[in-house]
Amino acid sequence: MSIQVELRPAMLEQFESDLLAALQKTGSRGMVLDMSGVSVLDKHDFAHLVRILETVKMMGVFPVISGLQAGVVSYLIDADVEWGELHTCLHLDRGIELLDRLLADSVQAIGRGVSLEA
Amino acid sequence: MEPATLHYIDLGHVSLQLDSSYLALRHKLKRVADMLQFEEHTVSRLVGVCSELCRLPVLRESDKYVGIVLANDGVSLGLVVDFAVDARLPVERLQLYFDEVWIGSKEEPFSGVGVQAYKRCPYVRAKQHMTGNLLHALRDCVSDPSREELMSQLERNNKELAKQRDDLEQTVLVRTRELQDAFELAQSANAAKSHFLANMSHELRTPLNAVIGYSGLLIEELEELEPQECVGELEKILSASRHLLQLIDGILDLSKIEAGSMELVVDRFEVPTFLFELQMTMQPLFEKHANQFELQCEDDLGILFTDSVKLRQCLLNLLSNAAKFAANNRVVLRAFSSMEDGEPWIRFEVIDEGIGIPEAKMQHLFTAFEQLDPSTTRRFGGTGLGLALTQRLVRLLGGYISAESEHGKGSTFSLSIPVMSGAYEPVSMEL
Repeated sequence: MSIQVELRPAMLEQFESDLLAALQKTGSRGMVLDMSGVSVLDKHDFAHLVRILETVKMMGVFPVISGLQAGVVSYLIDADVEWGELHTCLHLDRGIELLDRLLADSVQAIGRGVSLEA
Repeated sequence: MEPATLHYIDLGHVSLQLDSSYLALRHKLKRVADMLQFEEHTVSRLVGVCSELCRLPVLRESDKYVGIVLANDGVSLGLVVDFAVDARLPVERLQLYFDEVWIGSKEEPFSGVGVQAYKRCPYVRAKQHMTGNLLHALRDCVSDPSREELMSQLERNNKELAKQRDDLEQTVLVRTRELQDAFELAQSANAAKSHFLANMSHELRTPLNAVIGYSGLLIEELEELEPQECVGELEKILSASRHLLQLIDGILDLSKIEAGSMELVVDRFEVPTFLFELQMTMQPLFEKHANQFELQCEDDLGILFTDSVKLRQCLLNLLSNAAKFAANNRVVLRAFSSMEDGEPWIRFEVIDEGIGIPEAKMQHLFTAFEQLDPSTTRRFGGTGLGLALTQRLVRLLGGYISAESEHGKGSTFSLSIPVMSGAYEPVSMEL
């Protein structure tokens, strides 16, 4: 999924609702959230986004964020935000590669009888 | 510490009144920063931290603003974000993102409160790029309403419209009630008029029937009767005719006054002389009922400028009522000068020791089309219009009339008019 517009609280709420519905409908096991179109993101928006991705993880779906702009990352680092265990990457292609790897690792772990959390 | 050589140009400000104010600030600040050619990286950082601060609870409660100011150090342009709020702000956060942070700068255009954060534009040279067009475009970035501001304005407009709609509905309800009341009043007046006409038709037909009846009788009997035997019937015809004329005159006068087309003929006359002539006119009527008529009038009462005919009509009506409803009693007509609101007036009082008026009837005394007491009217005669007509005539003369009475003991009718009811010269005025 790709976000190419300015983030607003109402928009994030709608996004969460649409995302969870889509994941449930498709039965996806992973998703890449492309943030390359977002040039402004404050710590409150980021916290909201992290909560959404935590919800996605609880549904057993691997979330990956790709394309965070340099300025946004720089701001977030200085804002000392909580990244949690978010998987991030430079762009969409890398995001898909990362997702494939994460899913493959998950299958192997299940095969070895190890519970691997998303 | 502020560089001493910085010159500032205020580009505008963003109010913090709304919850969504930070979104408007983001939008405008980003546009200004892009126009000043800050790198994308720097724009994200600057706008991010300003957005974050605007969302602090202490700022969201504030009714202040964030100003966006252009700075010029003579070499390069720069951007100052002025958090003009009387609250503690995390200055150290701003210091991570801006070149300099000042606290409560008093330099024009800053207000001396809050925090001002300055960032220099490395690529925009003051002499090369500082043009009128740039300044105009930068100001437009700040003044053009953002989506949030437009939505907020739309919401305010909708609320205002809803309120006006509710007010309008309330106004319509009130007006409908008023119209309903006016309709009921009109219906009531219409019913009263119909009632009056029904009564009056009997009053008008009775003397008219008498005229016709006695005339017919006379024609039949004329050959047999002696001339002196006709006098009785002729007197009855005359009396009925006079009564009918009096009725018709009263109705016509009242209608004329109600229609606003009554003429006033103002003239100048001596009050004592006027009253003396009135006494002479009324004396026979008083003697007829064995009443004593007394005139009490100051010799130096002076001159009145008013319609003497209308005034005479009013006083004759009051005096004839007093004479009619009293027998073997004393009726006094008093006249004296008075002052009202610094102007000279004359007051006339007609005092009788007659039957008086019950208290319950007092409120309808001057009401037209309302019979005081039908049995009294039929016993003593009259049209039932006299007092209503008198009140309206007195008002036309610029005065007022009032009454006091005790049932069984007598009444006092008071009539006051200004000395100068009209112009000095006799003139006919259509009202």
